[in-house]
Amino acid sequence: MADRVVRVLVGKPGLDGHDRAAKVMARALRDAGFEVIYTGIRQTPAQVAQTAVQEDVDVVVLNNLTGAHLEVFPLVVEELKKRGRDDIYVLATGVIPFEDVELLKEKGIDEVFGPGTGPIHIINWIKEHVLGEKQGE
Amino acid sequence: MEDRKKILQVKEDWLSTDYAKFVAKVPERKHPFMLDSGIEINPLYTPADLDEDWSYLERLGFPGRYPFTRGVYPTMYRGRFWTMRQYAGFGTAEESNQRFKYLLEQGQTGLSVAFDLPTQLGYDSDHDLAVGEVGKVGVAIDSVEDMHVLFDGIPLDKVSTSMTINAPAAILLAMYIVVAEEKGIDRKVLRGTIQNDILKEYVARGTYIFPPRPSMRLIADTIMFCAEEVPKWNPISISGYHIRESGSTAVQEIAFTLGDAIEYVKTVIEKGMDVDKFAARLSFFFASHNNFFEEIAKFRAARRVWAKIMKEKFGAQNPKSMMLRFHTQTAGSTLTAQQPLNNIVRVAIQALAAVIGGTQSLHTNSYDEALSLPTEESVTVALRTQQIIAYESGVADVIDGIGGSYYVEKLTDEIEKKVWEYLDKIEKMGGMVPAIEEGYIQQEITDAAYQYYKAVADGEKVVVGVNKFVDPNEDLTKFHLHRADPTVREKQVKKLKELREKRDNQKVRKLLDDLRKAAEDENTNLMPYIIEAVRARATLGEITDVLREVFGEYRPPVIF
Amino acid sequence: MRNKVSKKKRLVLTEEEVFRRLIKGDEVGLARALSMIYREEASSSLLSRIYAYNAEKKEKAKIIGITGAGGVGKSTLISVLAETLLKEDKRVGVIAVDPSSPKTGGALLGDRIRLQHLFPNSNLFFRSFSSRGMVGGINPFIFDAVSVLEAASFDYIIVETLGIGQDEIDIVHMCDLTALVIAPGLGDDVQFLKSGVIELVDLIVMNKADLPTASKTVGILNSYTRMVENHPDIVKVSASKKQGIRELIAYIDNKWCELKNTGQLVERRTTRWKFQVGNWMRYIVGKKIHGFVERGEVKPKTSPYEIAISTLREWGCEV
Repeated sequence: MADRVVRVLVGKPGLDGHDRAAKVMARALRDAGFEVIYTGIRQTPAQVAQTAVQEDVDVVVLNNLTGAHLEVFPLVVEELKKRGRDDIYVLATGVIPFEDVELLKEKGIDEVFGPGTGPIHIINWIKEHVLGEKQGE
Repeated sequence: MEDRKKILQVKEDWLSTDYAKFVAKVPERKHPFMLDSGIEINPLYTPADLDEDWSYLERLGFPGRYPFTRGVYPTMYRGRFWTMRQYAGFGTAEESNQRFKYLLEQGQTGLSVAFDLPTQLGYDSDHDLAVGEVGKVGVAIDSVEDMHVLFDGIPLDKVSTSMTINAPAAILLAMYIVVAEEKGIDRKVLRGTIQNDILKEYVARGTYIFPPRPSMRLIADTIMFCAEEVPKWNPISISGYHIRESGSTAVQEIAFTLGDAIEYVKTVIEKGMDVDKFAARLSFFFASHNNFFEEIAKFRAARRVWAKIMKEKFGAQNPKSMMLRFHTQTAGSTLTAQQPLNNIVRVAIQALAAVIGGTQSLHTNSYDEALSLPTEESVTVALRTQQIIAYESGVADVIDGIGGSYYVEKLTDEIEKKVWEYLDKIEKMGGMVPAIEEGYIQQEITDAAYQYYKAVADGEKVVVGVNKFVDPNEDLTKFHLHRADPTVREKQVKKLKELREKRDNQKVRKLLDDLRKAAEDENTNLMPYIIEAVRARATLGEITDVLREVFGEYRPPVIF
Repeated sequence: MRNKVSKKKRLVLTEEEVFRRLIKGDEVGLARALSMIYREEASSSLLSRIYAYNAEKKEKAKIIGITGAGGVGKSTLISVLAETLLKEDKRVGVIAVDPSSPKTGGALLGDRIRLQHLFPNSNLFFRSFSSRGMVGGINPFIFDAVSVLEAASFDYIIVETLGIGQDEIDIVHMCDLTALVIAPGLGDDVQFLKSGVIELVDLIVMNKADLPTASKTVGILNSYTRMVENHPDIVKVSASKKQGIRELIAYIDNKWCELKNTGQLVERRTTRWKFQVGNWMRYIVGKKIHGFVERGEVKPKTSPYEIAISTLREWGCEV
């Protein structure tokens, strides 16, 4: 048990019901050796944040395909802050146009994986940022 | 086929000599060649590869005749092209109305309405859960007033309108009827479609509200109401599109869609309506994907299986009840953000497969969809793609031009066989509702989706511009993106407030109460009650809330 | 697209902070205590403090085990149980265990999906664990996790484990009382009834009791339970229709009070404590053995038995 297991929450805030991408992502993260918690669809930002806190995850991966990301994703960051856990990484995925990337980062999203990226990019990012940090400690 | 033996002999000889020698020199690209549906592709098909008892008259027959393999109409596109119908709608009703008028001017022949998610889930725009979603993936409709704006200046007695709406479909149909009637148009002449297919929402698209059983009742109510009152309306569009888009194979797409359809037919028959009274108005909606021959064979197989189901299982007499009429959309999930212009080509190939496969209407995707909402330019290119296929390619001048291709006929047979295997299994589980409640369907789709993902991730499946022929200098930032108006929610909230002040609230309360009582009695058709509530300006959210109270809300099983 | 961002510093809490926060019911502290235990980062003194704290507490949590095969509706049942208890202003903690992939160690933890609609709620805590590293169902982490939740003053602690089998039986040692959930359609598949599970659980919850086939299953069950002394009662519910839930809670409450008043609760918790001592010993020694075997030098001329005995003696075991 000594080796560090990364815990990741895959969250779907907003009303988007398309969960193929989220489920494929959850499975790919599992196969990368992470413990993956999935919230299911139609979550409020507060639901996602409380889940992240209770599960003590390292990373929250948000997915939304409806274009609500600009409003909804920053609310998750806020809710995490309210609960004293804004140290948890928050990643944004979905149909996110390039011009929104900086806007999301300004609002506390750590990285954006928009069109043209896939689970592999997210896995690598998590390995670097979460496990890399561990090595440096 | 009198020369079957001879052909097999010569084929065997060819395989062991010419073919084998060549393979020894230049090995084949794959071992084996497979379709995602799990069907192995042989190097070559001959008449002798068809089943020994293969009969032209039994398996193909003639267009417009059972089993409709070659098409549902006697002349197909020699008479009239398929309906070119582009899905549109975003922001406010005013904006969508303008887009509709633009598309009609461009030569589009039918309207297709996309609704935003709060509308699809039966929430008014001022609901807490609507934050960030109002007007995002479609138009926001809160009451019949918004519907009036949406169809302002559009002759509802002349156009046909397709509405992508499911859980609250009965309410949106009621709004359409009320709008027409308030314009002085009889509901009997209205033409169009509501999607109204809840079962695929549980397995693929996610916009369910109520549990399966009360949802099935609502659907039966709309089907039966339309059969009597709105005879030219398609009260349901049983959809494989979203099942396919959520990662299923072509075989699963057809099997699960027809499985859903069987469930709807059963439900209405159990309510006491004769199958021939409503079955002719059932319509279908499929995806057209990349594998050209597989897709064509899929459409042909679907027609044949459905005809058999209706004739043999449900005892339909009217040939129209046995016809599988369908809308097709090209596969959004195949579009790539990288090198987006390539998507025009993908869409063209997929659209061609749909037309050769005999579709009744078609939506072609816009090439920039993987990036964001399509622009006017990209929507136009998509429509032009259909027009080029219709007017320039010549494929529309003959009926089922690919019929008789040994490969396509064999594939049609094999897909049909696999579809029946699934349908038998589902029937043993007690039908689609138990199969969904137990998560069987969801698991099958999720597994297929993950396999596809892994095949692309491992490079086994090539996606041009993504895992091969990648442009290292590509700049994904240069595209102009349409952004929905961020103030739509404010506007809708304001309109709602005004509406609630203006209308006769006492009357609304009474009509909602009537609706509640009607909902509690399973044998009462809810459509007339919903229409009266809509006419009195009850909102979508208010009506849905009444039904939520009576029916409860659906919670999905946990499937990865 | 992937600009470097500065690495975040993950929240670090001292054991003192963790303890102080968790006994106040603070979610961050509670969640972290569970992580520390699961990752074996908690010192024995933190665990001892938690046990000492619980021993002093007047109000004990009701620790309820829920087990049963896949597909019987355990998650739905727990969801409506929690919903009902929350409406009565009770604090509810849930622990769910899902299997992990033996190949990658990764896991998909989806049990909480069924409860997500009850959040946000400060009286509801849910934690998903993977079965990673749990040798043969021996599972010291989950035991201690239950104690952590108890220290955080939950009124009810629900432990959900998957499936029925020998491995799951230790859930009955972990909880004050354990419910076996079943659903109609048992048919001839009564193997598990013979396996002795029935003798270990306190009650059988017949879910989906509204289905027409339910009475047949109850009949089969009754014929089996009659042969068992002190056989468990059968409580009929329909979780999806929210029927019989209050009655089930009343049954659990009564049963728990009866255990308390007759001194059986103390007895059960003593057994549980002893069992946990054994769990930890097996886990620690098991790991030591595993490490030894992995590193082990092969001496084909010596019998493995001899190596085992001599090594254990070297470790100071009297064997």
